[in-house]
Amino acid sequence: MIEQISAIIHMDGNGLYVWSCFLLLILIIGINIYMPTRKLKKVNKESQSKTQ
Amino acid sequence: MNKMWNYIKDWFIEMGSPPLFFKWSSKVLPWLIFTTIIIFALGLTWGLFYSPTDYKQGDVYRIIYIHVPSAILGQSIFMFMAVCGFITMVWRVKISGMLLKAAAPIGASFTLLALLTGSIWGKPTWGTWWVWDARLTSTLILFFIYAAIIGLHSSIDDKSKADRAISILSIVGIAIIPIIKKSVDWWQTLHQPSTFSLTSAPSMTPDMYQPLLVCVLGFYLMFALLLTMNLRAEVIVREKNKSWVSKQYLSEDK
Repeated sequence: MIEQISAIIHMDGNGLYVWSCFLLLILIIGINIYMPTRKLKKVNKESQSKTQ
Repeated sequence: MNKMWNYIKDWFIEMGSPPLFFKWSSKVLPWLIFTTIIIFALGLTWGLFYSPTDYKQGDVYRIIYIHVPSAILGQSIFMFMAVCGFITMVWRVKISGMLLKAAAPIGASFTLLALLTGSIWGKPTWGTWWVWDARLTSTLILFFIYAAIIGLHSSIDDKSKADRAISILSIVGIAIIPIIKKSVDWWQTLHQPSTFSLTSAPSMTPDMYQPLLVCVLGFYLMFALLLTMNLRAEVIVREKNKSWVSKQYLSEDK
């Protein structure tokens, strides 16, 4: 089991290339989810401070 | 025929009115998130873990399951933006300008991802991170056009004027797409020809291109999801002083 996992991570010495691409993908999607969420939060905060 | 066209046009304009869009997108969003996660995870797991190893490149070829879909997306989003630009200029539909603005950062992100993953793939296979070759350079230009669109929009205060300005830029910029597409045929390049073509059989074995097709579909769904999220935020930011926002959105939030 552990051998299998390490083989997947290692990918015959190419693991670093493949997994860094995967991390970049996750990072870019994460940023694209964070940006609109932050925008909406800002509007919410503004409207709350207006009503108070 | 004319009547039907008008009916379709009216329907689109109605669905695209900001309050109505916000209402129906709230209902669609959970389903979209669910389907996107399933297809996206399925494609990547299949490609990264279960597809066969390439006889020449070994496991490093698996970058294809991230690189090719992001490159396809980078170009398709630009074509989508040009269509939005055309609609904004001809019919002045408000939502199409917002769509164009919301799609630009996503397109730029995936084009950048295609460039970065291509570079990481180039190192072990070509022996270099970067070459000034036609495919790579034209894709870099596409990324700069995206950056110009984002910059131009944020530099103009009047949002409807900004929408029209980036509409023109995206309509003119569309010329880069056929150049990218044909760059591997017109010039001698290090980059291999397209993996997929509509007119001929794929150059890979089915157990390699089937997961790739699922990945492409997953990436398109991811675009739809990110675009919906971005557009909802854009609509709220622009209409925050209108009464429907406080009634519909801020009440929904509580």
